[in-house]
Amino acid sequence: MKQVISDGFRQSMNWLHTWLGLALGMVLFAVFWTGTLTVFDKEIDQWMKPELRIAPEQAVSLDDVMLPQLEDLSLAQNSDVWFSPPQHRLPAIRMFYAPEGERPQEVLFHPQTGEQLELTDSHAGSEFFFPFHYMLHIPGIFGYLIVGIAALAMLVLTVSGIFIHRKIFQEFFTFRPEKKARRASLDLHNLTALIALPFHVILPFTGLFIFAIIYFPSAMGVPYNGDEGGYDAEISGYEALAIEPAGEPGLPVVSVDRPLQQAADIWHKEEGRTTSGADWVGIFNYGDANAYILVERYFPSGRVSIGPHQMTFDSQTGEMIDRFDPQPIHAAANWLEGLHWIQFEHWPLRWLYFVAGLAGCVMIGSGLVFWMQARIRKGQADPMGVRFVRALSVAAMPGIIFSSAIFLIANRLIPKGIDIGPHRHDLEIWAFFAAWIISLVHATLRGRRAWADQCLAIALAAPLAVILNWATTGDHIPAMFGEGIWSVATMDLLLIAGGVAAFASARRLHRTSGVPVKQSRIDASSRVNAE
Amino acid sequence: MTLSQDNNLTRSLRLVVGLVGGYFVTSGFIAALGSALLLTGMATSEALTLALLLGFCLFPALVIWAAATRRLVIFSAAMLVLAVVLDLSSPMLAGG
Repeated sequence: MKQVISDGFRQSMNWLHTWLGLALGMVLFAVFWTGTLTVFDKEIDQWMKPELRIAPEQAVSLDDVMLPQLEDLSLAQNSDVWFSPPQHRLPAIRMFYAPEGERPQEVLFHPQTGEQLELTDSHAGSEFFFPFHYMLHIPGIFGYLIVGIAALAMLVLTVSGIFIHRKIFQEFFTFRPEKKARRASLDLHNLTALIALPFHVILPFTGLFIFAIIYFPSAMGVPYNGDEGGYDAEISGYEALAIEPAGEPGLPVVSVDRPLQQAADIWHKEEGRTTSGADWVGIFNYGDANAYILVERYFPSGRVSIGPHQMTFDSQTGEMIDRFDPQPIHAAANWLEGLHWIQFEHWPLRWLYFVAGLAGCVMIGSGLVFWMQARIRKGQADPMGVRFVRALSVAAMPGIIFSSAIFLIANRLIPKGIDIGPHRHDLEIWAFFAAWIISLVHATLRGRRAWADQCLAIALAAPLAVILNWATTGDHIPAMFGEGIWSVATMDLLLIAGGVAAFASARRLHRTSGVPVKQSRIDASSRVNAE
Repeated sequence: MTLSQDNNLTRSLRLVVGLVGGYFVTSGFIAALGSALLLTGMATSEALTLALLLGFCLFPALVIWAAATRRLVIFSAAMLVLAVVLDLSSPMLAGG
């Protein structure tokens, strides 16, 4: 019987899978790890900025809390102001405004008192782990390109990985941890790859789509006759709804709550169910006679799909002027993007993403371990090559996890008002990268023992972060649960669980790496080859 | 000759053809399809979104094809011709 997939093709895919995985596996691990953390970026923000630890409250009036602030903030005439009402994962009111000639500024307010929150200067989850996930904090376009190539490689790796397996369903149910490291790591690689297969396909695909304008700028400009920004302008809706300023001073805004309620009622009526209100409300041409209010819902609750659903209202009469909704194909693309952005209000699904992200990390890690074990077993590859890959792998895997824990520790140790030159948030980031460099140096010097050492370092660092959180804020786990601030309590619990898992791994690795079995096997193999 | 029988240089060449050639063909494909769909009366953002979604399926397929093809030279030439044709035709389609 003729084979559906020839052996030659299967071997080609095997080679492609092996070497592309080796070349980009470490970048992919960093992207997967920070992406997994980003699933809970706002919760990390609350952990790293204790001022945000606000118990969620119902129904906040922006008219009462925010409108009086507008005059006090001395906003320049004709500047645009954006508010975000308290959300289920961020209970504060956010405000963005851009005084003329200045950079846009973000200010957060307490949802009940309207008091401006003096936040700890930290990039935390949403400004450190999240950007790291898509551009590795490399300045310019290079970070985006590296992550883009890695995402493309991930798609190729997934497809080629499917082709190289003859018995894909059998391997789905096979895990033999008691076997030798080589066999066990391959089983774990197959298992974690298959168990989250849709995740491994959809996430890189949608990630590429989200940054399409960066990867294919000129191609996207062609249908707009060379205007590379034409696509974004058309899909965002802002240009379609924009009203030119009159150039004359206008009356103060009457109400923000009313347009918000009107928009929520319309969405509720159209969708036939209770849905979330707006994510953002913008006051455009503020201070001008043509000032208008734009209500935007980007992340509807109970839906995966994201995308701009906007309505504009007269700032004086409160009447709806216009609205914008995505067109059908773009709405489908928004659904795909929503799968990546994970902004939906659905905790079980969010946790599933977290687990799938960890499965991706294990898949990449076990793949690299398998590559090394295969070379050690055969004794054919240059041991220097294995040592090189091992050092990079240790730094890329336990190294980045350890650095993430150091990032949290630095956040709790660096005083809030420190003034020694660089920004406080930069000091935290330097601590992260310093720990990462130390991890690489350590991995280079310690050989295979570095795995156990760095797991042990994680086992110490993760609970230390929890203790420091308690010591510096007084917020311990039972207190946080008691006050309804689940984000911080859960994060502390995860850190402890991570520390325990790292300790168990360190013990197991220490037992295996301490015995020079592999070296003797290489020596024996080399003797056989020589003979 | 398949990838498994190649030497390391030819294997690397396959990756370069797949990634670089694939990029230019995909770029041309997105521009050409996005422009061609305008002729059917579709909104520009809709046409481009569809072209992008299909383009991101095409790109990894081209990388895999480059790795698996027995005739790398012919494949490379075909990619080159295709990229040029798509890149030249797309502005004409958009203008039309």
